[in-house]
Amino acid sequence: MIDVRLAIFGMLAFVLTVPALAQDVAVRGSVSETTIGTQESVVFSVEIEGASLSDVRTPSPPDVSGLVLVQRTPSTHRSMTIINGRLQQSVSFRWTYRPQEAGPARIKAASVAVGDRTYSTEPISITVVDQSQRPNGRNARPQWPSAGSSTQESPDNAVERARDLFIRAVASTLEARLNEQVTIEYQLFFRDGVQLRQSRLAGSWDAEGFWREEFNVDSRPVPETRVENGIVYHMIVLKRVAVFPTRSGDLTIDPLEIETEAYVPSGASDAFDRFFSMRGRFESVSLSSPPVHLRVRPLPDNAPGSFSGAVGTYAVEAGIDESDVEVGEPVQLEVVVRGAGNLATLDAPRFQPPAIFERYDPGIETSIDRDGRRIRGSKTFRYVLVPRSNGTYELPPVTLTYFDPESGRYETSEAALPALRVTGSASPLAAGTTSGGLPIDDIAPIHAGAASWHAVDAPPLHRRAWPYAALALPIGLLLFLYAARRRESALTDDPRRARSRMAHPLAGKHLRSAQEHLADGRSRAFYKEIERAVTGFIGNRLHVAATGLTRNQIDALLVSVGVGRDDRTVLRNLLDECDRVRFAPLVPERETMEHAGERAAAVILAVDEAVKARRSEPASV
Amino acid sequence: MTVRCLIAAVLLFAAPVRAQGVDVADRHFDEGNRLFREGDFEAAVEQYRMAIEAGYGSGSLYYNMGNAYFRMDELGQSIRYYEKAARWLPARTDVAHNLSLARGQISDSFSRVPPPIWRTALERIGQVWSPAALFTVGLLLYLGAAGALAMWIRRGRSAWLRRAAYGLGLPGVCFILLGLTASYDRVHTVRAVMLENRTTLLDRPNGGRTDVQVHEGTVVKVVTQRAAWSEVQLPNGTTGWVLAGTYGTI
Repeated sequence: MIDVRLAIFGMLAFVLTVPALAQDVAVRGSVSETTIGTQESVVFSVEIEGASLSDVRTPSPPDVSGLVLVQRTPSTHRSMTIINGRLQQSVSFRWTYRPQEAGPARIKAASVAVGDRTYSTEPISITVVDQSQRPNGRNARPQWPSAGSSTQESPDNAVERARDLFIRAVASTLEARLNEQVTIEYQLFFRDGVQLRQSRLAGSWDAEGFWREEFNVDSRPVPETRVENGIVYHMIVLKRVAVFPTRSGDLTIDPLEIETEAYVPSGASDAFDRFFSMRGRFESVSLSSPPVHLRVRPLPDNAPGSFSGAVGTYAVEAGIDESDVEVGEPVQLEVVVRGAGNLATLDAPRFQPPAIFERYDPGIETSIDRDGRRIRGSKTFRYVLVPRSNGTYELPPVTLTYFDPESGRYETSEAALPALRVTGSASPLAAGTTSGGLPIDDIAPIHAGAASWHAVDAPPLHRRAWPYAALALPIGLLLFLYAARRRESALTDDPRRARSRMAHPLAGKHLRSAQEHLADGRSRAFYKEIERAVTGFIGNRLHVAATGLTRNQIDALLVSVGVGRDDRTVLRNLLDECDRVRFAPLVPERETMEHAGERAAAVILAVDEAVKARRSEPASV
Repeated sequence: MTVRCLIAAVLLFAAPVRAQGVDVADRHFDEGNRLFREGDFEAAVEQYRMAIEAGYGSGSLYYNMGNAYFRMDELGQSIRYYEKAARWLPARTDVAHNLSLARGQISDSFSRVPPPIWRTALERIGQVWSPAALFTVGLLLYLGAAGALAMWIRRGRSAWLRRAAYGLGLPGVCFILLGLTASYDRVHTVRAVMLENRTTLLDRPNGGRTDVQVHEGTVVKVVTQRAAWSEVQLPNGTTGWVLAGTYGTI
């Protein structure tokens, strides 16, 4: 693309070596060279454009220092050009000066009267150097290398060429924010008589760390006239590009390099002669712009949560194509972002429809205006929303947060949306769902039923007590059962021991029953229980059948275990008292009965102690 | 008598307190669901948080929070709460579906160091059974075995009862041990989800940057915690230090 454009530039430069187009009166002062040798001369020109030739009065030569005017009367050149159907007239006056000595010289402002107005040129500084420092044969003319010397070019020639023909890179700013637009314009400057052809891009122009957008530039440019350091140049724009830094830090944009065939006439004394000179040749040359160094700062830290990296100036518009739809009927939401900035990488504005809407990925259309000096245009996002439930829904606004480099602030543009009424009833989803009824490209809906709650600060299972208690309890029960079983087995296998262990409980049971009879005044039953308690205890403790024992047999048994005489007497009397009350019509006093109970308990204790003492004797021996 | 009165008083007092807390959580849960349906996901998340602040959580609550964060394009938080939900609702297909969908949007794709066999088995079991469920099943089998053993003690040595005791007791003990191990593992293996878009691992707390970056949504293991810094282990075994605020524990 750029090759074609540069080739066209070359052809144009071949035929167009005219002064710049001007609408109003323009007065320019220029010199043929700003650096001359002591043996050379310099031509000072005053050019007046856009004025009727009859209104221009011949000016006086300007005052100078370090120079000597060769001829006071200027040479005059007039030209008339038709550009784009408009007639342009210009006239120029030229004086020739010679240097007095090596050192700085100066041509002061020249005044020109045009009609009833007076215009002044800018002062121009001239550097006069010793003639030995100038290129050989040079005589105040821009000179191109001679034929066949393109590959062995002398440094002097290179310097001269750089002065006659160069590329300048002009950046809109050298310090920018992340993703802020910086416009770089590559301008080709060339002097009168310079002709170019077969121009093409050399090497690869790159801007690492930047997103790039090319501007449209005129494919048939009309050169502008520029005065640079007192020398008149013609300038055309080769390339204009917008770069958006994608990272912060010090970044460099590569030089723009072109290769071309250039022609500069030599030996001519002025532009007219240079144009028609046939003494030069086209030579292959390479031109390069300087690299552009940019300092990129990150965006400020206070970015809102909705910010997604957009930098520039934007405005959001949004709308839906229907405001009353059926369930399942698609609604198109169109969001348009207009403004200046890097639209190509601009993310979709923030929009979260209610969850009952299925939202599909948007169709995106970007329109960029590449004219002018700022990338601007619009980006359209078309969403399809499908409501899955009826009702009237307030659609949330569409918002875009961006950083405005001019104001240095984060701004938010918002577009409100109308309410959407959805009628009809929901139908089961057939398409777009898995066999399990789950959406294929979307999340499953929320759980709406009652939640099964748990305490959030509850300790984990292994740190709770109940699991261990639940484990220990059956073990305890089993141990208890096992112990009970063992005990039962032991008692079954040893009747003496079983009876001995049962003696106390049974005696206690009979004594408690006797107390109840005492309370009720039933004397016979009382004494019957007293007798059963005493004889039963003796039988169980001594492992003999209690039923049918005579008094003497009981006495003999008690003697055998060492029960004392007094206790045996008490027992005998007690048993006799029991017999008397049970078998004779005798009602004893309550105190007598209480006393009988006490004696029975005492006898039981005495027998028990005697048995224990007897059983412990072998162990103590 | 006094003990009975005390127990009754504690029960009478504690039951309404729990019911009141659950009511609050229920109310916020329902309100969050309503806001979610209206598309106000931020407000829905706030309501769900208030339910948690009431002292109660649930698998459904975490799942709905994951959905709300997903709608807000907060991938890290959505994966975090889906993972939490999966702990409580391991058998729910919609939880697994949403978690899979969210995981599919993670930009990191670390290779995975093969874990030990026992850990793989534990993770697979944990995907279906919660520790409490494992323990409960084990406890029922254990009680059955204990009942058989009790009958064996009381009624005599029957071969059938002995086989029943072994048949129930051995799997019961296995389930119980699995449940307790899974519970212990959950507490002592801290998993987390990275919440920042991009986090660079450091070689030590407040130290130099490594060339390893981890992105939002990646699940890591928190190995060490030291003040504001934590050492995390990536799925490929790489470790590094990050600020504690860059991740959210599951």
